[in-house]
Amino acid sequence: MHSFRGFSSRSRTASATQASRMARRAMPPAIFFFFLFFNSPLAAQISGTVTDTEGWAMTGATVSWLNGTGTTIDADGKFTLPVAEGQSRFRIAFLGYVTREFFVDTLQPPLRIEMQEEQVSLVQVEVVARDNGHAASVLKTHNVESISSKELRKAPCCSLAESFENSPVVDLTYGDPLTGRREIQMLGLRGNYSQLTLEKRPMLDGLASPFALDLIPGPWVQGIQISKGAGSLESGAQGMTGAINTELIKPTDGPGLFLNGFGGSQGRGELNVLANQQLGKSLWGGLSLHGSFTENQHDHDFDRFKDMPDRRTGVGLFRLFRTGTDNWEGQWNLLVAKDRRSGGQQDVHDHGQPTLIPYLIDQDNERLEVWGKTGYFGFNKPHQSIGFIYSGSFHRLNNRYGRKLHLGEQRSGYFSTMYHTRIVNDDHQLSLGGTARVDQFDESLAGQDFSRNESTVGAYGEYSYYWEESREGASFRSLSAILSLRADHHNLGGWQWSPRVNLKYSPGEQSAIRFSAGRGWRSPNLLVDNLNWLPSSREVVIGAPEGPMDPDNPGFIGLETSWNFGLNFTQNLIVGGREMQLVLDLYRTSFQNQVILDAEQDITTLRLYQLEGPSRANGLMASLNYEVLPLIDVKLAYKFNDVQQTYATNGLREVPLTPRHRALATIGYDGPRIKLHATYHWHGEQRLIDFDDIPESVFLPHPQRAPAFGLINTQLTYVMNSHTEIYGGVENLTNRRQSNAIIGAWEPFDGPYFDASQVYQPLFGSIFFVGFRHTL
Amino acid sequence: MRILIALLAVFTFTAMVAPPKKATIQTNAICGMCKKNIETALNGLDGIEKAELDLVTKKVKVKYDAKVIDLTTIRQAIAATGYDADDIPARPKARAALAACCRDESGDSCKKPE
Repeated sequence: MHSFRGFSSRSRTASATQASRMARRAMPPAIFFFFLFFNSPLAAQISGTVTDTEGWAMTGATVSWLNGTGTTIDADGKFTLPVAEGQSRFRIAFLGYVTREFFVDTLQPPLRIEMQEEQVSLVQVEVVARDNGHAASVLKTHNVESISSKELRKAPCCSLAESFENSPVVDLTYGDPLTGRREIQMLGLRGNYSQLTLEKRPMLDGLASPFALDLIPGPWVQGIQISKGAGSLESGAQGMTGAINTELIKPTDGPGLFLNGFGGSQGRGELNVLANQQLGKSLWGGLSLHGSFTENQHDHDFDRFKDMPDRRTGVGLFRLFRTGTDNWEGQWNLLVAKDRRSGGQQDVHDHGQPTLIPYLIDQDNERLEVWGKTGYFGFNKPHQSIGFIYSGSFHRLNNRYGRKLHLGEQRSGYFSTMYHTRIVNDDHQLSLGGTARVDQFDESLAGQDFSRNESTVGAYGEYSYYWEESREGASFRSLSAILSLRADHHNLGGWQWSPRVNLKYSPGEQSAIRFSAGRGWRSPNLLVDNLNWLPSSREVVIGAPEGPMDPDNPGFIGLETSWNFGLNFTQNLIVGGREMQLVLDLYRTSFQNQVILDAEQDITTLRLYQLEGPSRANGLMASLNYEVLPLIDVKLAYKFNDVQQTYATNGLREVPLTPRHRALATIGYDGPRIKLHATYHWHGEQRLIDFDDIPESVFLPHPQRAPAFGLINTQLTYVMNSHTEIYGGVENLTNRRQSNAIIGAWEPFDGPYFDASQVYQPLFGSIFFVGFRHTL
Repeated sequence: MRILIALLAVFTFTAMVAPPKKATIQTNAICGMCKKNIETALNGLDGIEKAELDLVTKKVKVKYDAKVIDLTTIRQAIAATGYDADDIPARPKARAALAACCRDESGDSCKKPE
C-alpha cells in the first residue's frame, strides 16, 4: 500500500494547481480515464483513512469536491467519496487543522492521510473587531456605557476622576483652589447621587467620598461601566441618577509587571507599579502601588493663595485570588491609602488687618480597607450559585480650614450575599440577595458635633426575562425586562422601598430602545458632600429636619429619596463599511427628600435643610460616534440639563454651577504606532450664587452668570515596541482660566466675606505632561 | 421630527438584512467552564452570531450566517475544543487538555455555572 501526503492548501496550492493543469493538457481524456481505471479497482469512488498526527481518527472531517458535494469521515476514520462528474480536486477539512487538497489524477488509493493541527488553538482565536474604547451596549437591558482601559489611556492623566475627561456621560468640575476637590456630575446632578462601586461593592463612601475617585489611580483600572438612570439594585439603592462601576486589573489576567511614570508642568509627578503572579495551582497574587505628588507655588492671579493644594498620595493594594477547578472561588483584598493636601495662603500682606497668620487648608485622609468575595457553585443544578461579599474599613479625616478644624473617623462593616438561579430555562433568571452594613461616624466641625451611627439591613430580588424571535425565517427581534425590588431598613430613616423596572426592546440586531423607572435613596454626609463649601467665612447651620432630631445622631437630618425615569435609544450602523453609533437619552430625576445646600439666604451662613417642594433634574443627551476614515474616530455629543430645586426663601430656581448646555467633540487617530487624540469641551452659561448681599468693599470680579467657554485637551501616544509606549500632551491648550476665583482673598479672617466655591473654569493655564508605560 | 424620520429609515434598513440560520447541537459539556469553553470557541468564529449552551440539556443553540459557515464546521469547532458535537466525537488531544472536571462525565467533581 502506498502512503501519500497530499498538498496542504494555502501557499503550496498555487504551484500544485499549475502542475496539474499542465498534466491535464498533456493527457487526452480517454487516456485519463484509462489511467484512473487501472490504478483504482473501484473507479467510481475514492476511499481512504484520515487520522491526526497521533493516529486518532479524524471523525467528522468533511471530504468534498470543490463544487461542495461530498461526504464525512466515519467513526473509524474512513471515508468513501463517490466520483463526481467534472470534478478533479477534493479537499479534506476539519476546523483547527490544516485543510488538505488532492488531485484525483495523481492519487493511488486507498489513501492514508495524516492531518496536522493549525498552530493557533481554537480557544485563543482572536476576535479582530476594532475596539474604539468606548461603547454603548445594545445587548444589556440596563443603559450602560463602558469605557475600556484603551479609552482610559486617551485621557491625559491619571486618577479615576480624570479618566472621565473624555466621557460624554460623566462631567468633571474644576477643582477649587483651596480643597482641590474635583467633583463628577451625571445627568446634571452631583456625583453624590450616583452610586460608585468598586468591583460591584460600595467604593470609598462616607468620609472618603470627596476624594474617592482621586484615590484610585487610572492605570489600575481595567474598565468602567457607567449605567444611566435606574440600574441594578444588587449592591444597594444609592444609584439615584445612575451607577459607576469600576473594575480593577485582576491578578489572574493582569500583566506580570507594569510600570507607569508621569510628569506634568504643574509640579506633578506620579508612579504606578503593578505586579501579578501565579502563586499556586489555583492561587494568584497581585500588588499595585501608587505614589504621586503635586508641589508648586503657582498663583497666576497673584491673590497670594495657591492655585491648587500641594498633594502627596500613596495607595497600595494587595489582592489574592483563588480560581479553582473545584466548586468555589474567592478573592481577598487589602487597600491602604494616605492622602495629604495642603493649600491656602502662601504669604500675608500686612495692610493693617488684625490677623497676620496665613489662611491654611490642610487635609489629611488615611484609610485602611479589607474586603473579600467568595462564590460557591457546588449545587446540584449548574445554573445555581451563591456569592458573598464582605468588607471592613477604617477612615480617618483630619482637616483644617483656617481656624476651623474638621475631624472625623468612620468605621464601617459591609456584608452582602447573592443567590442566582433560573426558573424553567435560561430565559427566566432570578437573583435574590441580602445586605447589611453598619457605619459609625465620629465627626465634628469647629466644635459642632456631626456624629451618627447608621445601620442598614436590606434584601432585594431581581427577576429578568428574555424573549427572542425564534420563528424560522423571521428577522431578529428581542425583548428583555428586569423587574426588581429592594427593601431596606435604615436605623434612622426607617423603611425604604425601591422598586425598579427596566425594559429593552430590540427591533433589530443593532438597535435598542430602553425604558427605565425606579426609586433610589441615600444617606447624605452633610459635611463631606459639601467639602468645597467649608473653607469660607460662612457658618454651617443645620435647618430643622422632618420629625424630631435625634440628639444621639446630630449629623443626620433625613435621607434623600428620588424617582428616576428614563428613555434611551441606541443604534449601531455600518456606514461606508465602518461603524457608527447613535445614542439618544432622556432622563428625569425628581426628588422627594433632598438635603438642600443654601448659600443664598445671607452671606454669613451655609444652610443645610430638607427639601420642601419640588426638585428635579431633566436631562437630554445625544451622541454620535463614527469612524470617519479608517482608524480615525470622531465623537460628537450634546447635553442639555435643566436642574432646579426649591429653596426655603427663594423658591424653585436653577441650581448654581450647573451649565444648561454642554457639548463635546473628540477626534482620534488610532494607528498601530502613533495614537493622537484631541477633545473639545464646551460649557454653556451657568448661574453663580447671588452676589447681591456681598458688601462693596469686597473685590468681586465675577458676573452673576458665568460665561460660556471651551477647552481643548490633546494627547499623543507613541508605541515604541510591544512593551513600551510613551505619551505626552497638553491639557487646556488655549490657556483658559478663571482669575480671582477666591472672593475676599484680601482678608480671609477679618474681611466681611471669604469664599472659594464659585469656580467654573480651570485655575491653571495650559499644562504639559509626558509619561511612559512599560509592560513586561 | 426630522431625526425621527431618519431613525425610522435606519430601522427599516437594518431590518432588511437576511435572518441568520439557527441550529441546535448536542454536546457532552458538564460545567460552567465547559459552557465557557464552547461559547468562547464558537463566538470567536466568523459567521457565528450567537452561541449559547444550556447546561441542563447540554445542547448548544447557535445562530449563524450560512453564507460564511456551515453546521459541520461548527460541530468540528466544538470537537476541536474537546467536546462531542452530535455525531462528531471530541478530538482526543483537545479533550485531554481540558480541566479535570470537564472530562469527568459522571459530573461529580464540578458544577460551576458562568
